[in-house]
Amino acid sequence: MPRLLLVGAIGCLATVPLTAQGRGTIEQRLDPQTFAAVRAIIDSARRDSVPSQALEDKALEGVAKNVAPARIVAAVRQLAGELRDTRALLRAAAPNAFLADGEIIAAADAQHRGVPPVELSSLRAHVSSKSSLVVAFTVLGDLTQRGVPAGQARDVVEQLIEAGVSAQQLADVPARMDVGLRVGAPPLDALRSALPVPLRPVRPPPGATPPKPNPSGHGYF
Amino acid sequence: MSDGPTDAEVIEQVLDGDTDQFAVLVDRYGDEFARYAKYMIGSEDEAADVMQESLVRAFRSLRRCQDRTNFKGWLFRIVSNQCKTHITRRRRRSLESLDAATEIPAVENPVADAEAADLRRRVRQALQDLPQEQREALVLKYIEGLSLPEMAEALSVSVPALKMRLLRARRELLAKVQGVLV
Amino acid sequence: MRPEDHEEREARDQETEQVERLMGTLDRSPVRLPALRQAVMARIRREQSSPWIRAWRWLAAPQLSPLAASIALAAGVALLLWLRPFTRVVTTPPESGTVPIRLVFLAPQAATVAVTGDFARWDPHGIPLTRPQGDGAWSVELQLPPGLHHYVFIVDGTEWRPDPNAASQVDDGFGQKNSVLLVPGPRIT
Repeated sequence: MPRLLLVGAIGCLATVPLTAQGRGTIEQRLDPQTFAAVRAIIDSARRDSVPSQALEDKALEGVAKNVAPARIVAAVRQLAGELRDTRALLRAAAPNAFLADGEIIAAADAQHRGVPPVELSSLRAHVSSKSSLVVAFTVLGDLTQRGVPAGQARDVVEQLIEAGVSAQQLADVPARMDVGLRVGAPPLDALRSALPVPLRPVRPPPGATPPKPNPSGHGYF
Repeated sequence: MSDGPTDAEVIEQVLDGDTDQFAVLVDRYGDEFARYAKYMIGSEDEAADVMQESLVRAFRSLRRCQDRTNFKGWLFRIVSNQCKTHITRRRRRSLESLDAATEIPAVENPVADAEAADLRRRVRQALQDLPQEQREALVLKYIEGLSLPEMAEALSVSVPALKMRLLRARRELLAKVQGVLV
Repeated sequence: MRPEDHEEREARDQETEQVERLMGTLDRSPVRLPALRQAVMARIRREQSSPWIRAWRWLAAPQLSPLAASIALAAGVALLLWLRPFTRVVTTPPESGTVPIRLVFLAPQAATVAVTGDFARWDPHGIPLTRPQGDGAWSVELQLPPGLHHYVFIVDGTEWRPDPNAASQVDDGFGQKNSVLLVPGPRIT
């Protein structure tokens, strides 16, 4: 006898409407030659599971900014290469994790902002394979841009994730850090005061001298 | 060359509770039948909605996919049924709205040739006027480029029956297009 | 082959050729649906988190023995009766899958301000901002999907400016800067 004993009201699930794909797409906004070149790059990227939406967006961005067609093609090609390399990096760090497009894009973005690949790889390897790291990679990039050494920034982000902070709390850290930076605090001090939860001391990079104890007694860094 | 799990492996992961892995199948096959849906329904916008609905239904009934190495074929049947359901529910579209939804400028000939554009429009309308089975046969053969054995497998119909269906479909299409042309 | 068969065959070949030509006028380029994955996964996740759907799936899943089903039913009814004074049906509004984000840009001298970015498919006209107070503070509320977004403001239709309030800026690959907006969602860490 089937388990089905009740006929429940499932409710109306609102359909997320898709806007017309034929309007405003690259094939309509690029000249035929540029479109063909960009299309070839995107098709190749799709075959390799590289996020293709980001490549389309880059082409559309170039058109909107009146960039020369050759430069658009070069930018799309470069981005495709970066995304391909980033995907390989993350896949190697976590062979069983599901790599969302957003995560690959966020990791590539973070590299643009100065985060070395090894820190992205380390973060991906140490976090549960079921977690997406879009916010984590982005915050890592934000902290690095604000002068926090990348290795220490990665350790802080890892600890915050382990501590179970929400995505919003993690995303708020860079903006909270700006409060301290605006009054002239060094980056690490500004970061310390921006943390939503207390953390254990950050591991120094290999070969570094251990940090002096913090006079305030927090011992985060 | 892309690495990654097979369809069967992905299905197993999804059924084990890793819902996010279903996105792998969406990425692999989401666009695959969109062109077919566009010509079955006559609208790219509505084809997008039908693809979305089909994939969600595929997720809901994933346990019923018996041959996990042929998820694609199983998905096609869902898409085909969804197209038919969509068509029977919807009111007849006007010719103008059909044009607005499906007219895509040919990349290789950006300068519009009025006569060619008009013929295209008539062919599209004639296709929409055909019975669904005949339309499907023409779309699979001439748009999707399937061979007769491939079509037979996709539609679970014998090759002789398909040949007859195509014969009738061709005649109907010609009659409708030539009936409009003076 | 008999002459009639030959004629018939020729007629069929001609028909096939004509139909091939007619069908060949139709656009066979692939149809891309870049937003499909997001839409599908958003619906699936909504269903997964809906208690009604979880209950439906459990009920519709494979088999209990008749005895087990009867016991389950009796136990369920008894539990409901016991819980009746304590249960409250809580309805929550359906999630749209997007998050409301308010962008503000200060430009007292500007006649128009708009914002464009990946969420607007880099429409060069952008999404217009308004200034409800009539002062220099232009604003707009957008519904954005969770994730990373790049955007810029367009002042008076021609001047492209990054957002000074953005958490960060990034090179756009064209020698300019884009502002970065991170929209956290329930499913991303």
